[in-house]
Amino acid sequence: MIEKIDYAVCDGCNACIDACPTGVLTLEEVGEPWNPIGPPGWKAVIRYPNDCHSCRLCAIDCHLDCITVNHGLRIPDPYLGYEHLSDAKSA
Amino acid sequence: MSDYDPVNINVDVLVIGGGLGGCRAALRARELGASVALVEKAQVARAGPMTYVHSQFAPDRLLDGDELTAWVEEFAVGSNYLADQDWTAMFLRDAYFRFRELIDMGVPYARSADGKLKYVKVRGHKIGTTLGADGRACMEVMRKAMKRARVRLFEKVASLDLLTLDGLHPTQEGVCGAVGVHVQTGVPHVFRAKAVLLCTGPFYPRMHYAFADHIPGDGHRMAYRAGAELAGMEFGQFAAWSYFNKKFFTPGQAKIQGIGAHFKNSLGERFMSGYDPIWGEQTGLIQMARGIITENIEGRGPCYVDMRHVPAADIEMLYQVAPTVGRAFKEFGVDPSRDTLTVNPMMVLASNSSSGLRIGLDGETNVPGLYAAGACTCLPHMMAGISGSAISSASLVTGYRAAGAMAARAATIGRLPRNTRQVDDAISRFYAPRQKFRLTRPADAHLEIGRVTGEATFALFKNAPRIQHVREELARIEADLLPKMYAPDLHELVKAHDARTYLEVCKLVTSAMLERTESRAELFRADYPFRDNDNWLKWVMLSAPGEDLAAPPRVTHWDLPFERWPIKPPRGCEPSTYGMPERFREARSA
Repeated sequence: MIEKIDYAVCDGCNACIDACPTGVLTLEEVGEPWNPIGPPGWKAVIRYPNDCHSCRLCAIDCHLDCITVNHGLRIPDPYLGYEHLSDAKSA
Repeated sequence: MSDYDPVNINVDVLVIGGGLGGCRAALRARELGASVALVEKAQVARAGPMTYVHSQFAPDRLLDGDELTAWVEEFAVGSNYLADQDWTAMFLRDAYFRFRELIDMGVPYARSADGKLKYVKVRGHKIGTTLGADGRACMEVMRKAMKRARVRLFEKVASLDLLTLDGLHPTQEGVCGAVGVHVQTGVPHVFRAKAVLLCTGPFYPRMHYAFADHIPGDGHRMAYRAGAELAGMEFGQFAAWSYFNKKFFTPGQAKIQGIGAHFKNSLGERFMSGYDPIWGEQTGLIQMARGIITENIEGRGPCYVDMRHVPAADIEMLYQVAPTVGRAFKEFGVDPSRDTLTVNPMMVLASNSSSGLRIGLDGETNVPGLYAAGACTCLPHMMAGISGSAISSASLVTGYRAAGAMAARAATIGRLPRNTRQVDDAISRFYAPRQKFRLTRPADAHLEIGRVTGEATFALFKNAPRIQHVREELARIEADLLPKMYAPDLHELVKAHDARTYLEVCKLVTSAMLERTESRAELFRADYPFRDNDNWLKWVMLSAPGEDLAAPPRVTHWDLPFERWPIKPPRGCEPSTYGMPERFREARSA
């Protein structure tokens, strides 16, 4: 999933926000007392991290290469429960 | 209700969905002189499975005669004989021309060192040829072409419902547009159009799988409400096996199978030929997943994929056409020439590219004015098929043909109604979760649907009681949970809409699963563990029963006309190859 945006580098160009198909990112004014997550300016902010489906389109489109997305997909548990059916518990 | 006045758009042709088929249709309709709007929930070239396409089924020559029949046979056998053979023959001939056009438009297909197009082998095809392509690059080309052709592009606008000529759902007279809402601003968009093309792709749950989370089946739901027939819904079971080392997933599975990877169990046996004698390790995703799960259940797990014998050039090609695979391997320190990777499957209620609108040769549905292309159709050439690469190709072919039919229809239609009530209803429904009671987050409702439909014994060993149980659970979620969804902002409103859409599609899938009393392709029924060619060489179609859309769907059948088709199926019953421990046969849950 999306890990972080380097706010020191981000110039708020909006490319990642356009690219994100699930609407994880929003453009916000940060660096103010009520939003002190980075240096002052308009930045892309990870507003809905739980909706990231790790497609990496934001990272590919970032012209400053400041978005980190790892491949550690978090497939929700309901879709991965087959071990308990097994006769022999495999490692 | 929305706080904004709607944006009104009047066009000849409305295309819903900005994948390959939608874009090709929009371009073709412009060529024919129609005014065109294309509405996309995300952004063209940044949305949906097309972004992850890495190979496209593309005949390398114009097919005819015996050769054409041989290629049709490949699809017919791969589809367990459910393919519409007329449609397949049309598809195979048209696809040649469509890909010549794409090549001329400058889509960067994989080429060998001397500059020649490189046709590669992928899952599902032994004689059929496939071009290696980066789907995202392909869509960039289409997007530029659409801008040049002055297609009116509406991005970040989610379509909510279709408008009809008689103002009714389901409609008797036909479809005349759609209503949508901008996902960032909330502004309603009302499209009035003389013909509508659905190109909304497959349906997936919210499973955080690369392209899945924003395609819950919008087109399926809208079409069903409008009265269109959906075919092959019983095969709505998707699987993926590429959960590597229990750490990471990658798309690109067809390509990994295509370069000749070996799949082995803990005893070192290559087990897939035992499950699919014809295709072996080139078989479909669901067959792969079932095979792996059965090995695990019977104590021969964990299974792993072995690419150590694959030539370096082929691995290089894999990375080139499926860059995600290369990046993921690098991130997790995997070197396929040295390491093996354990594989784990998952199975979800989702489109495996053979569940959707029933279409004819020109993408037409049974509803006048409504056309469909791509993965939101039943893909008549591979009903329950195993070819991953022929999905985008079919979308391209149908989109192009549908554009011709739509432009012709547009010339015959006069003024369109205003449909104020339908617009208000759709917008009100969308904004309904903006309520006071803060009870359920849309994501939790969606996960609850996933918990019910992803339940392991249901996914693997379906029988009538288990399917019925899932239907009851879905009804419970619809009655108890969905009305309590709370969405504090637009983003969450969209997610709430997605959850409702996916639930309604799941209800259709389970209805069709109950109907088909045999095991074929993606559908395995523990109470009917055999393929029954005497009784079930037919399609199961669902359509809205009447004014009450919540009632169970009307079910009809289409007996396939093999007497006039070249490829004849074997007769009789054939037991399924999947093992099933006795304890799962009867009980509802283990």
